[in-house]
Amino acid sequence: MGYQFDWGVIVREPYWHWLLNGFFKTLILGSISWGIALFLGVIIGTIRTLPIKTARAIGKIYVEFFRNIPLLVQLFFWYYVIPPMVGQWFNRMQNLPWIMAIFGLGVYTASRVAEHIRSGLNSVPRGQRHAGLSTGLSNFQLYRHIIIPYGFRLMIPPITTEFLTVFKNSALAMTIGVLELSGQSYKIGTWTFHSFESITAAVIGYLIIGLSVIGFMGWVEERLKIPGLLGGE
Amino acid sequence: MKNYRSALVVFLTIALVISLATAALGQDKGVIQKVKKSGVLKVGCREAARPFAYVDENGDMVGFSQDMAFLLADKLEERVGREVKVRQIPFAGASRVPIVAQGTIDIEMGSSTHTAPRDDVLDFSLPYFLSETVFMVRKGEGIDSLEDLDGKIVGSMRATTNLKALQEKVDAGEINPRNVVVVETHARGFQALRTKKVDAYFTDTSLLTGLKASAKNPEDYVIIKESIHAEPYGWMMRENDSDWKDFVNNFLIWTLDTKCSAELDTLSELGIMDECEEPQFTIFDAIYDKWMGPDTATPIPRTRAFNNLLDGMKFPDVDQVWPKKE
Repeated sequence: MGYQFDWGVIVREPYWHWLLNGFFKTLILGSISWGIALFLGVIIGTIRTLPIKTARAIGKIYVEFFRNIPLLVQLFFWYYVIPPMVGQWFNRMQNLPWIMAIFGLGVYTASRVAEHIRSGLNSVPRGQRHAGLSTGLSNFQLYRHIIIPYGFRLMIPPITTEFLTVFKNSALAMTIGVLELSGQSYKIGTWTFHSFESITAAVIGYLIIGLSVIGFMGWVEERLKIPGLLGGE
Repeated sequence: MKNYRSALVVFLTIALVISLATAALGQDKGVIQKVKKSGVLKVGCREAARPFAYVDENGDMVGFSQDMAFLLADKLEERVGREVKVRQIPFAGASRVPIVAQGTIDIEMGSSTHTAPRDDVLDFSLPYFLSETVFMVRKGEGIDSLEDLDGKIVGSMRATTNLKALQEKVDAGEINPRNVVVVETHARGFQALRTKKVDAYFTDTSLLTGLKASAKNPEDYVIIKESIHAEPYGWMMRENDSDWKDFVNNFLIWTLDTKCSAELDTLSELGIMDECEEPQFTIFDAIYDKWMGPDTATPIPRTRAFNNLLDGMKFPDVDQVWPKKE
């Protein structure tokens, strides 16, 4: 005796549909959050390297705040604590879990992206900065044309890791009621009591997403390679 | 030298195979045999299923089912002829089926509904409680029945039969809420009700009674006893361990049949002296009264259906044939 496997639950209706739905939800949730994270992360990371003290302080506060609180706690905070304070129209909004999951995941990942961006920008050789300034570029131009294009490319490998992590972290959205891939696989577990099978399906789903991200980022890295740097020609 | 080495490899391989084989065989031994050997009964306890099994303020795992567990271990001592210790293992509701199926625990004594799909992979004891899925609302907002939920927001907990029943009623159009909110724990569900994130929270009567009792202002909430689903609770065991399941079932019948005063020593250890002063009380009644009687924080009056169910389960003279000696 032991556990009776029934792999059919993965492909049977309606469970197959639930899994597919969860897969796309995870994909969308991760992608939009990643968009937010990249946008905010580049801004915050950049201002942490600016020669302006207040800007650096703001960046530091943001990063330390979001990076040092567990994501799970942050999601509960965004979903349970903030909405009633904003107002009942917001608290009772239909898609609130979804919105808060994207937002929470985005701002959290942004803090991590910002750290990579900062170290990328700081690793741009000092001489480049001086050369830029001495040719008469303004601070903005210096960042726009030299430091960001340079530093960002150096940081593609760690950014790839964060891109992967955002999809893996998106599983936590389940705890505030978003039925993404993990949520759906747990739901199938409750409905059919075949959670081993449904979780295996989720594992495969995450693998597909993860491997696609790695492939995509590899392509990006290849495209953006700087000749003479990091194996570029 | 070379010969020595290959002999060693062969020896180690054989040892490994034998140890794996015995480990696999050990898996197939019944719980009673295992307990006879180890003297330990591994009992699963829910972390927050008041009053059946929960972790109290002192961090102790207590509740109706947990009291039953200690009594069960006591009877098991008579059967296996040695001291039996209860090891309480806390677990989350969502993982209850796998941990029983894998044999991590010998018996789950919490508050689990007997369902056909669960029964496919596990065995259930006879029912010890009949719970109905009802809902709790905030007082004075004009929700008195399922019809009043039209256009409201309802909620239930992830990975429960309550959510499944609720979802099915919604899909069938019998309840027409604006939205179904899924929460992670009952505590979060209650918080959602308090902060008006949901207008009605669905779960078992007993659990709602417990949630209401733990609220700061219990009188602000009302439990609407219109059930969407009736659920018998059973203790969960590994599939196909008939000897163990019989033992547990006979144990339950014995508690229903035996007058409380007959087992005073054990019961007083569990702190059930007061309840036993009632002359008509059986052991089951006394333990029920301790956790769900009118004087407790979570009073759950027995319904007629529940009493009939218990009456029907008793059969005469069970104490004369049970517990049988090894």
